[in-house]
This record gives sequence, structure tokens and C-alpha cells, in this order.
Amino acid sequence: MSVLTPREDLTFPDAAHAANTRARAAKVRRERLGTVAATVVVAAVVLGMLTPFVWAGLTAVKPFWAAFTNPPTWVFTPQFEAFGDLWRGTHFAAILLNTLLVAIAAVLVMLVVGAPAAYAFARYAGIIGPILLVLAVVLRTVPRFAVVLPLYEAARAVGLYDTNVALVAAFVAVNMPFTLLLLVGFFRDIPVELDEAAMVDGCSRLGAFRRVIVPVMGPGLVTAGVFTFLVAFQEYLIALTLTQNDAVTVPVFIAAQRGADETSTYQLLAAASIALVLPIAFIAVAARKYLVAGLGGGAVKG
Amino acid sequence: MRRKDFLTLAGPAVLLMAALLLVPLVTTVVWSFQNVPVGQPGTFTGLANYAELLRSSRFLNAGAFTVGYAIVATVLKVALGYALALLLARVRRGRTVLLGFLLASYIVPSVVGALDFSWLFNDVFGGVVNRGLGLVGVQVNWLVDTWPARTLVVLHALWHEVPFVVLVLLAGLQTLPEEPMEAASLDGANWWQKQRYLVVPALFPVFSFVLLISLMDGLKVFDSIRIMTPAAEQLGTESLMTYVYQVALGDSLRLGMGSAVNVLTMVVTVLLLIPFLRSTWKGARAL
Repeated sequence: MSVLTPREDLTFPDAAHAANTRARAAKVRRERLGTVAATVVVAAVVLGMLTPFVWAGLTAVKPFWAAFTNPPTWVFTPQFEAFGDLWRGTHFAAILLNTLLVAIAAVLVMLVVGAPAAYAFARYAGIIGPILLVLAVVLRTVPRFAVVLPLYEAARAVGLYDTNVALVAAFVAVNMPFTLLLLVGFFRDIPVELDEAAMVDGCSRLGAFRRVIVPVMGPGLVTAGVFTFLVAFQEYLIALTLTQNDAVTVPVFIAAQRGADETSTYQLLAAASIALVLPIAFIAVAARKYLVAGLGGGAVKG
Repeated sequence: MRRKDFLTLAGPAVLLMAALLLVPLVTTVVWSFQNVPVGQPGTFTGLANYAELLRSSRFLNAGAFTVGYAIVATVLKVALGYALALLLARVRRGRTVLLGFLLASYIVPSVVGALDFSWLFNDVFGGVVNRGLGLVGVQVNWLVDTWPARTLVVLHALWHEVPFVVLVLLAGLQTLPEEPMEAASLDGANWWQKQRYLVVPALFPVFSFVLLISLMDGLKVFDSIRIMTPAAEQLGTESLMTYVYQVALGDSLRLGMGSAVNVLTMVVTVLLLIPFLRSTWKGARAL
């Protein structure tokens, strides 16, 4: 009775209905086809992008005679001597352990120092918070060498050159601005009412942070922790500048081996890269939720 | 929050950043006006470092290469990343798994990634890429000739960083509401028009963030250049940061000279940053 009567009712109801259904079915079919096509293309790209790692893996497990032929040799008996040689014949094991140690120390220092600061920046209404945040953005973008060359001289002057302490300090300092940005985003998502409720119940501000906020910040802290942990394994420039022998991390070791530029070390290098790629790929897949939150979240919100 | 609580919570981090970031940065600026041999105090030389840099063809070449690299890599990264993000947004099943594997090349230490990537272009390792190109009758000396080496460095940047672009743009795409897209379809807009007039404008902040990060990372490129093209100076792939390393810690131990390059790089970076800083400032002030 109203003017808003659906159009179908004005024409032949059944025919219109059937046509409509057919059109919708065609649309659904088209969309499903599109989804399949998109999945196939993306999967092909992803596989293509994994080729370098697959190739390094093949180089590591080929017998020496088969590893460096052109055209490539496809038929061979896999052997794992390169991994044994890497483990026993070089300092790789010790360097891996040292990198792990530096990574864990950096995560601890970063969270203990960074999390309270991020909370304060997220909650403080004065002018200092925004200033520090803008500063943090600037510092995140500064060339590493602008910070690391003076740190290099300072570390030499106070006898911390080539020590884990200098390395942890530099890693934490250089990545603190990023961690702060990341964590401030997470803290802002926690309602202020939660702090207020805790303080009404008799908590001090610090008590509220420790007893109420930190427990609900699990995902944020894990995200910041994962990124700091990866930094110790990724960062080359800082470790190259601040270490020589004792505190060397894996990237510096691998780059130094590459400098030898001899075919005999290539298989060791391939083994070393696989020994690193596998655990890190595992971390990437296991912690993808946190990585995605850390990499994407800040950007989209900001 | 009371000022005392703020200082207690934020104090340690602020002190740490002041001591280990701000003091070094100020030192860098001071050094850029000094002659500073490693291990010795500097002597003031005014603008001598800058004057020498601007006369040095090696520095100018490194600067030109770095800027070109940053621009080309950024444009290609954003174009490819956007295409992949659009495709990935259509994927229903297995999206997170694909994303996880896609991130592998971004998360693996850049030294390892650059090494493994360059092996595909190395004839000693079976020359995978050249064998593929051989099918169409092309052979390229990737690691010996200037332009192929530059292409290799850009290709590595794409392989390494497109996943980051995909991730950020995909997150942005997922925040878009459905209705405007459907309305546009009903009005007969084609795919290009919907991208041009709806999606790209809606994602403008995300695009500008990605462009900015990518440009700044491009200006700071170091790891991949040192690993893939160790003889960067001869090959024409020397970047500003590998130049700094050579000048300050490699062939000559001139910290002042290296600092001057750092200062120039920072000036360019901060100019690029200003729009983004304004939005961060407003966001933080709005609270």
C-alpha cells in the first residue's frame, strides 16, 4: 500500500524473482572465482619469495661437488656435514649463544624502562608527553651512524667497546622510540576508567600501573618484546660498529665469513643462514598476530 | 596524572634516551664542524667538512645514487605492495598463513636475506636467475656491471620490504566500510574508479605513512649494499651510509667527515618528516 512497495510486486513476481536469483548466483560465482584466483596468485608470489631460502637450503645440503655447478645439479644425496662443520669448526655456536643473551637482556631492559614511560606518555595530559612523542618519532628516523659513531668513541673511551653491555645499551636506546610509539598505542586502548577504578580502591598511580594495567597489557608487552628480540638478530650496522671479537652477533659473523669470498666457506654460510632462517620463520608464524599488530596497528591508528 | 608520578614512570626512559640518543646526536652535529680522528679529541675546522663533501665526486655520486634508489624503490614497493594487499584482501582461507610466510623475507636478518637473495643472481651458485633469463636469450652480469648491480639492489629492497607495505595497507583496507563500495558499484563505477575515488583517498594517511617510512629507510640503506656489493664504490652502488662507514671507520678514520654526511642526511629526513610530525603532535595534544 505504500509507495515503497518493492518493484517485484509490480511486475511478474516469479519471473523477476528468478532473474534476481540468477543474477545473484552469477555474482557469487564470480566472487568465488575471484577469491580462488587471488589465492593462487598470492600463493605463487609467496612461494617465489621463499626461493632464496630454498636455494640456500639446497646449497647447504648438497655434497660439495654438486653445490656449485652451473647448470645446477638436481640429483644428489643430501648430507648435513656443513651444519656439523659450522657447529664444531667455527665459533657459530658461541656467537649464537651470545646473540641470544644480548637479545634477552635487551628485551628485559627495554620493557622495564619502556613500559612505564609509555604508560605515562599515554596518560599524562601536560605538554611534556606530546613533545617527547614527537621527539621519539624524530629519533626513530635518524640515521643509525649519527648515534652510533659517538657511541663508538664513548665506548672506547670508557672501555666498553666490544662488550655485551655496550651492545645492549645501544640496541635499547636506538629502538626505545619505536617501542614507546608502539606501547603508547596499546596503552591508549585501555580505558582510563580502569586506572581510576584501581585508584578509587586505594591503589597509588604506580600501584595501579603494576597491579592493574600491566596484567591487561600482555599482548602489547609481547609485541614490543618480540620486536626487541628480533632487533638483536637483525641489527648489523650497530653490532658491526661496536664489536670486534668478544661481543660479535650473528649478522656480523655471517658478514665476516662472506668477506672471505671462497667457495669452501659458501656451504658454511648457507648452513648458517638456514640455521637462522628456520627459527626466525618459526617465530614469525607463531607470533604473527603480534607482529601484525605491531607493524600494522600503529600505522593505521596514527 | 600528577607530575611526580609522570616523572617516576617516564624518568628512566627519558634519561636513557637523553644520554644515549640526544647526547650522541648533539655530538654528531658538533663533530661535523671538526676534524676528529678516531680516538682523539676534535679540532674546530668550521665548514671545512661540508666544503670538502660538496667538492667530492664520490660523495655526490653516493648521494645521487641513494636518493634515486630511495625514490625508485619506494614507488615500486608501494605499487607492488598495494596490488598484493588488494589480492590478499580477497583471499578467504589461509590468509594469515600466507601473510606469515610473506613476512619471512622481511623478518629474517637483513644480512642473511641479502646474502641468500644475491646467490640467486650469482653464477657460482648455479645462476638461477640467469638461467631463467637465458630462456629469452639474455645474460646479465649482476655482480660486476653498474646498472645490473643497481637493479639487483632495488630488487632486493622490493623482496625485503614489500611484505611490510602489504601488511600496513592490508590493515588499512580492512578498516574500510563496505557500504560506499557497494553504493559505487550500484552507480556503475568500475574497478579503477572505485580505487581512484574511494579506496586511495580513504587510505591516504596509510599511504603517506608507508611512503614516508620507505623513503627514510631508503636514504639509510646500508646492510644490503655492504653484503651484496662489497666493492660498492667501484660498482656505483655506494650509498650515503656505506660511504659514512668507509670514511669514519673503514679506509680513513675521520669521524668529523662521517658526521657531516649524517647531518646532511638528517636535514633531508626531517624535512620529509614535517607533515607526519604535525599529525603526531595533534594526535597527542588531542588527549
